[in-house]
Amino acid sequence: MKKSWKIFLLFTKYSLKTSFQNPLGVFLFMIGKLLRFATFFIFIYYLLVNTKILVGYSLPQTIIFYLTYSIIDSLAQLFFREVYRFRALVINAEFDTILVKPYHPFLRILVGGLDIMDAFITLLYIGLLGYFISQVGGISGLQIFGYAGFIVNSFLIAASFHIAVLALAIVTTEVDHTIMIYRDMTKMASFPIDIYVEPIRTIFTFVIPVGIMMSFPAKSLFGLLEPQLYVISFAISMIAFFGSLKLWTFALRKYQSWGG
Amino acid sequence: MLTYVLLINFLSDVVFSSKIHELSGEIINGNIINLLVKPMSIMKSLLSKEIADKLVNISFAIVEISILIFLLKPHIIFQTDVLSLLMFVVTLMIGIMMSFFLSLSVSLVAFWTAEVWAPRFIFIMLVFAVAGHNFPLDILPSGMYNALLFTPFPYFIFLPAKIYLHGFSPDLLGPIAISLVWTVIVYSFSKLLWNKGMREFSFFGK
Repeated sequence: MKKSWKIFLLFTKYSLKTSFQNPLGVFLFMIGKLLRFATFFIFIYYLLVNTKILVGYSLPQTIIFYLTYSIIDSLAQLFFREVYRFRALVINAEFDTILVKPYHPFLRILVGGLDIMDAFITLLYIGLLGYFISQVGGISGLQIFGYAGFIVNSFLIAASFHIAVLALAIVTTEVDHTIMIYRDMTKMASFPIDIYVEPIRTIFTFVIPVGIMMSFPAKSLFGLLEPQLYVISFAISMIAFFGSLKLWTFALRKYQSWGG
Repeated sequence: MLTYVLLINFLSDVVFSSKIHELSGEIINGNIINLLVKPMSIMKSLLSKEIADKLVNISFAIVEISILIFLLKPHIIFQTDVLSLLMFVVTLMIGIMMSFFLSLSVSLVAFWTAEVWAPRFIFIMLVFAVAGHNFPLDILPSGMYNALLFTPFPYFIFLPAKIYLHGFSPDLLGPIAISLVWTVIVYSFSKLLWNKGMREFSFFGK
C-alpha cells in the first residue's frame, strides 16, 4: 500500500512537470473549461429566471445539481486523464512494458496522469457549491455528510466506468468513442434526473447509474431521498466496481500484444 | 423545443463535423510536403475530404435521429413553406463554409506553433457555447442576443434552425447579410494565414 502510494505520487509529480512544460497550453485549456462551465451556468440561470422552478427545484437547487455534476465530472477527469491516452499504449505495445512492472498497472494507466487543470477548476466548483448551499439554507451537517458520502460513491461509479473503458480498449483498441459515450451519458444527468419521463428516468438511474452518480448526491443534500435508496445506490456502485474488475481480468486474458 | 434539440443535433453533425483538424498534424510532422508536391490543389483536396466526411456524418445523423423519433415519438415541426426551406438551405451552406474556413484558420496555427490543441479546444468550447448548440440563443436578454448577432457564431447552426422552425421573414435579411460578411472575412483570413504560412514553412527530408 505504502509502495503504491509512493508510485502514485511519483507519477503525479511527472504529470505535473509535463503539464507545466507548456504553461500557455494549461492556461488556454483552463479558459476553455471555464467557458464551457460558464455558458451552461448562464443557460440554467436564464432558464430559471423565466420559469422560476424546474421539476420542483428552485434556481439555487438546480445550480447545485449542475455543480454536483461538474464536481464529479472534473474529479473523474482529474484522476483518470491517463485513460484517454491508453489506446496508444495498446497499439504500439508499450502496454507490455507496463504489465511486467512490479506494481499494479492501474497505477499507470488509470491514475498515472493527474490533470492539474481540473484540480484548480474543481476547487472553484466546490467554492461555488458552498455559496449556493448557503443560498438554499436549512441544510444540516448530517445532510452534508450524506452528500459527501454520495460524492465518494459517484467517484467509485466513475472509476468503474473508466476501468470498463480500459478493458474494452484492450479487446477493441477503441477508447475515444467509449469515453465519449460515457461523457454524453453523464451529461444527461447535469440536470435533475426527474426531468426525464419513465422509463428513461429509471434506465438512467438504475441500469446506467448516471442518475445515482449525479442526481442522488444533491437529492440527499436536500433530504429528498428515501432511506432504501441509500442502500440501493451503494449496492449498485459495488456491483459496478467489482463487475468492471471482472471485465478487466477477462480483457487481460484476451490481450495478445505483438507476440514474441 | 424537442424539434429544436433534434434539429440542432443534426445541424451540428453537418456543420461541425470536420477532418480539417488533421491538417495541423500534417503541418507539424511535415507530411504536408507530400500533399504540396502533388499535382492538385490542396484546398480542393481538403474541401473534397470535408464534403465526404460530412456526407458520412449526415447519413449516420439521419439514422440516429430516426431511431430517436421512432422510440420517443416527439411532436416534430415540419416546415412546409418553400421559401423558408430554401433560405434554410442557403443559411446552412453559409454556416458550413464559415465553419470550414474558421476551422482551417485554427489548423493553420500549426505553421507557427506545435501547441494547436489548446486553441482548437477554446474554439470548440466557444462555438458550442454561443452557436446555439446548448440552448436557443434567443432566451438570452435582448442586449446580449443582439450583441451576439454581430459575431459569426449564431450563423453556424442557430440561424438555419430559427429559419426552419419559425419560417423566413424579411427581418432576417440583416442577419443573413452579416453572415455573408463574416464568411468573406474568415475566408480572407484563412487565405492570408495560408499564404503567410507557405512563405515561412520549411521542413526536412520526407
